[in-house]
Amino acid sequence: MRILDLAALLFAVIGLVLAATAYFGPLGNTGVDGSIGALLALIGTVAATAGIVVTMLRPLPHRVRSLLTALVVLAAGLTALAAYFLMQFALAVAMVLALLGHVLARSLDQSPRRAA
Amino acid sequence: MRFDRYVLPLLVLASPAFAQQAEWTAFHGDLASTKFSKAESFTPETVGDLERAWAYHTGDVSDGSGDVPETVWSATPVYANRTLYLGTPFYRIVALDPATGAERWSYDSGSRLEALTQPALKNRGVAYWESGLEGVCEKRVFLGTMDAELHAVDADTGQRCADFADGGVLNVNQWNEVNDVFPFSLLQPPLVVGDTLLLGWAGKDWAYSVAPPGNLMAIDARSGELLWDTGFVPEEMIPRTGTANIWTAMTADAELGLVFAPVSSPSPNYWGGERTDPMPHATSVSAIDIATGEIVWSFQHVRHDIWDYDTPSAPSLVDIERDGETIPALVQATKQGFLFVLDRRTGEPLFPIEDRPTPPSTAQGEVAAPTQPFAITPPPLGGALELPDVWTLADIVSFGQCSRDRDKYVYDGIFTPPSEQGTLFFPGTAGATNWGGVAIDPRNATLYVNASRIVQLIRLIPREEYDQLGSAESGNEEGYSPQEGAPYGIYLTDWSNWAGMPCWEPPFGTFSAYDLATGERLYETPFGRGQLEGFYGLRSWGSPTLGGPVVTAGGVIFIGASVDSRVRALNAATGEELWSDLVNAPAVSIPAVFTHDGIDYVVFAVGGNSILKPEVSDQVVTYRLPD
Repeated sequence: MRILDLAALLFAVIGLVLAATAYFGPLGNTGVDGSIGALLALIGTVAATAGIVVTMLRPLPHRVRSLLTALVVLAAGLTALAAYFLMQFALAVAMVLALLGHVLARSLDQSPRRAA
Repeated sequence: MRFDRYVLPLLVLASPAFAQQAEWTAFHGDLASTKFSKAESFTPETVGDLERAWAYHTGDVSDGSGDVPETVWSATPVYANRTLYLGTPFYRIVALDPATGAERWSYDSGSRLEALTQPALKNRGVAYWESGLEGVCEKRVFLGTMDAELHAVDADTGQRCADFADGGVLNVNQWNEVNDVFPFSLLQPPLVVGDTLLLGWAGKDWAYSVAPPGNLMAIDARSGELLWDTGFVPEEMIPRTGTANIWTAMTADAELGLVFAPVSSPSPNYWGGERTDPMPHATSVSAIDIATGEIVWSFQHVRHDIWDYDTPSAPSLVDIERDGETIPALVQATKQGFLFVLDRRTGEPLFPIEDRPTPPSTAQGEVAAPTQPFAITPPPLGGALELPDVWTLADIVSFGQCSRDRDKYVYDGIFTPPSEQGTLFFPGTAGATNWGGVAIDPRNATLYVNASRIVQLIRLIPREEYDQLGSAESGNEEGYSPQEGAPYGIYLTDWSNWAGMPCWEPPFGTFSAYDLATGERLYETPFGRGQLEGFYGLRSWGSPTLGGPVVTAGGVIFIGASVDSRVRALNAATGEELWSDLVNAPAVSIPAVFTHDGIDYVVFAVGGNSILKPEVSDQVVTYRLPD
């Protein structure tokens, strides 16, 4: 679980860096630098990363945790979709992997409780 | 015909070096405007390996946020004299090393950086002339400015040619003597035929009813002397109208001694109540004798133009085999999406042209032409004859706004006149095609062309109401235009929903190939990708385009032109995309393909144009294959 959490966080942070690069264009023209679309993608990666970090750092009530997971899934999923239409394919892949890692980690979180 | 003026330079052009098409000495590569390059190394198998040879920034760019107006740059680079020459929208010339992009010299015309006749500072490049002799200013580069000056500089040094006009600068506005409400803006470089410069000009026909009458000027390349001046507006109509000018590139057949001039619409653009008498040369392609200036024939492709359907590009010359005979032809692509194929000796159509009834006008004082010529073979570009359906996605996003618009506004087919109610206007004023025109492979008479599918909404606003709006003039492609002197101003915009999505069904742009021997369309495929707020459209949606293609002997098309700021190589046989590269803005120029020291290069001037999206640049990018 911990490894999956860390993997999800890693991909989310990679996504954040890629989104920031796409928006600010420090390495040159990205085709979307300065655009509203790239800004939305950047905001999405920040939200997804923050959500993953919060779920990792402290125990949360089950409902809050579920809500947070749903928000992370939404943020990562929409960011991946936005990244596809921004032709930022590496960002799209990173956010899909972050999403999968986070969902798997939460599923494994819940499995022992169901068994008990 | 004078031997020294016409024949001697043609012999130079006919030399073995020219036969190898190593150079790209004019806006369209050659006098025939084929945009065909004999470069053979670029093939469908090799272009995937293209790499940047160099990139260069002129520094002459403005997004309009400061004191300097926005720039629009559509300069086709000229490769001649083993040098690459570019004009800039700040009206400078830069001379570059073709292999490295290193600057050899630059020349500043000192032109005012004021958008006198256009919404932006514009330039479409420079022209090159050489006498065939050795010496200072025996090779020259010519640059026009928005404030009507033509500058001549030595091609080796960038120093002004003192024997040309007034110390190297010709004040072309000295011949702007009638209805001179704006200067003759020289945004398109002159066409060089022998020792003659053929020069048109640009103005603002959306702003005034009575404007300078359009003309073609022939100027001596050495002295700047005016050789002749041919007008296109009938004398008796000059007090009531104007323009019908040549703002785009021209084509010449030196053997026939003819220049083919794409003549624009008369002023004002969208109401013609004061110019209902025949104007046979307006919105035409006209053939003019280079020696005398006499109009030999004129083919008017829009009668009584009230849509700003200017003839937007140079016609392209091609020889067509028919019944064992070789017919010297020309092809004129138009904004309304027709490809007119004419015998260039006579102007007679080589495919039947149908005279079809067109809708009447409801505007005060307007008398729309009852019929218009329809070129059905080759088939019109991008389905130009039929308004695209409402785009379901845009309609849903706008909760049915697009469908309501469709019911609210007038559309009775192509050539529906502008109205007070609002008219859906397709193809829109930027046209199915624009200055990029077509490319032709002369070996098999195959034509290649990019086309936009843009629906616009145009509304005539009664003068009193327009004056109360107090709207600033916006320019010629979108927004408010006063049409001073007419009973109407206008409002023109793309037909879109609240989110800026087009209300009409994609594709928004296509790329097509035609067999000119039969008139058959070989393929038509969506081209490029649109982009809105950073988000790209799907490949199948295509992109509106500005700029044109080049075709090479290796079977590859090079083209920028799309909204998505990519330059591309296509397979000429199928239209399939083979390679692309991201550049700094839409490359709305026509690329140049040339061979330098045995290596083939393709170069794009990347300038952007606010018609496509608000992104400008000063980038020049050159590609070659690896060693």
